[in-house]
Amino acid sequence: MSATSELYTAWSTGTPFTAPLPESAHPVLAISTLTAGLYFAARYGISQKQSIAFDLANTIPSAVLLGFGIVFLFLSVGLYV
Amino acid sequence: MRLTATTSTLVATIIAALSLTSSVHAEEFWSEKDVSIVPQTFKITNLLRTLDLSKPIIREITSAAVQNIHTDQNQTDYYFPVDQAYSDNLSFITAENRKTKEVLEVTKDDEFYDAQFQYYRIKLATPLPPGEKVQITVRTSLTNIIRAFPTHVGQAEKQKFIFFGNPFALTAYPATKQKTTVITPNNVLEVHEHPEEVDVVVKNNQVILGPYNDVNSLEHGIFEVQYEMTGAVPHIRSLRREIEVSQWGNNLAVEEHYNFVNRGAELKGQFSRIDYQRNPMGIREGNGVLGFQTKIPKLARDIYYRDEIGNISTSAIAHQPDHIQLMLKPRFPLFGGWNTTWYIGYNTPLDGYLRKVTGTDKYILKVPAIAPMPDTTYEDVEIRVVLPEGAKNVKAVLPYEVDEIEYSTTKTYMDSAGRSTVTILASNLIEDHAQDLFIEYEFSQTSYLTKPLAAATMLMAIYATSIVFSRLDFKIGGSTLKK
Repeated sequence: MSATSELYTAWSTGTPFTAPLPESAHPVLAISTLTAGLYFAARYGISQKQSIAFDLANTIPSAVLLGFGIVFLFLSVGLYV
Repeated sequence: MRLTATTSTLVATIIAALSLTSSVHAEEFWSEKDVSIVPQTFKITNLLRTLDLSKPIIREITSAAVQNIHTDQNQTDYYFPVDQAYSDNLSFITAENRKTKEVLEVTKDDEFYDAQFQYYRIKLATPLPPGEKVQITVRTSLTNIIRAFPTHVGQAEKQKFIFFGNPFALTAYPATKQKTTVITPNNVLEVHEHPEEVDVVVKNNQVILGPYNDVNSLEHGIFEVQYEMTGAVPHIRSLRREIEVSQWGNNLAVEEHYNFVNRGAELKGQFSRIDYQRNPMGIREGNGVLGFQTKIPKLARDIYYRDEIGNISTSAIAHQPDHIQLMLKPRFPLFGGWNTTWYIGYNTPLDGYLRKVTGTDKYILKVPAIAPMPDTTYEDVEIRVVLPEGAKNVKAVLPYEVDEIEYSTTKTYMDSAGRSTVTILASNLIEDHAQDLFIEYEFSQTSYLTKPLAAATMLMAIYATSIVFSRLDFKIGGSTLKK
């Protein structure tokens, strides 16, 4: 009984949760990050025997942007991951 | 059949023995008196007990004026006994000071063990000086204790129930005066009591047992009330409530799976759809369940109501000032003994439930343990709370005792390490148990990056394979010179 009451006081004095990003930004961010990620992926995909530095300079941003893009895509369609 | 000489003398002795015992005082009829094992520091000067039988869940309200009879010590612990035979039926117990309406702490006592009685310790708000009196009200809710009698009724027939109880309020201390009032929804049909000397007065829908003077502690007898009650006895055999917290999406997703049965009098014969639709009075007086009502959060969205077949369209919502009233109708009316299953779910914003302790990484989640459904008993309840990936040091706290709290990990969409999960198993709950469940956990800001980086790592693995493989030479034979 006392454990719940002390958690209740801790709960009432806490700050309400704020999301890291506003929900309205989810679809916009999803489309923009996915587009940018696919741009880099395409740039790597159509390249012919460039240096490793070029390849990595395209695949790493592509992977990171597409990773974020997938998360935002899931969130904007209602699959709250 | 002709009585022989020996049989007639046997019958005569039995009648003589019965008449001898029936002339003895009520308390001494029971040769073994139960002795109260708790310290006898109180005396009950007046006790009024009300047994409310108007709903399928029996509510017993015991108001006692107790006096401290210890010579020189202040008392803080008042003991309330409950028969062990009813331990499975006792669902909820609270106590309050009758004058100040202050809620008193009630705990199940494990210090005094008695094979027949379970004691509950009620802690008084302020220690009671010797000779002083205080008035305590104890409210208990008993489930699954009334029986339909007869067990089968027709479709539009009214059902009758039978209740067996103790004419004396079970107390750990002797009572100078006590009275019990039994309230039934309609007129009382029949009352039987044992021992027969117990005073019983029947008035319309009330049975008044007493007042009894100088009742010993732990005094008990049996009395039986038969009464009519329309309406179903709703009972949820199993409820699985899944709550998923998503901090990325600022969302709390709730999904509840129900298995419901109507425990009223069973249907005699076949269900006749013609009689059911032609006779609206029959619907009102019969015991069919026509719908369920429950409350869901005010900001709930994407509400769905489905079962194994698919969506159930017979549902409606009504927006109330502080919640949404959800009215669900099953695919068919549920008569006694009939059951059905369904599941509902919705999404709701997380900021009403989750709070962060300022300055730390600690978060506290406050959710209702179950959604309240009126007059319904829950047999097996499983509450599963799935916390975001990266939650550590998880602790769950409930305001009442439950069977088990388990901590584990589940893996769902885009999980690499798995999400911390709290599983709570409880049984024999009623509407009063829809109180807040608190879960606290630690979640650092960097844990937000786990999901995107997990996806990025998988993609990078594919790209790396591609980079390596594009530089390898798989030609068979030596390299040919270009011409």
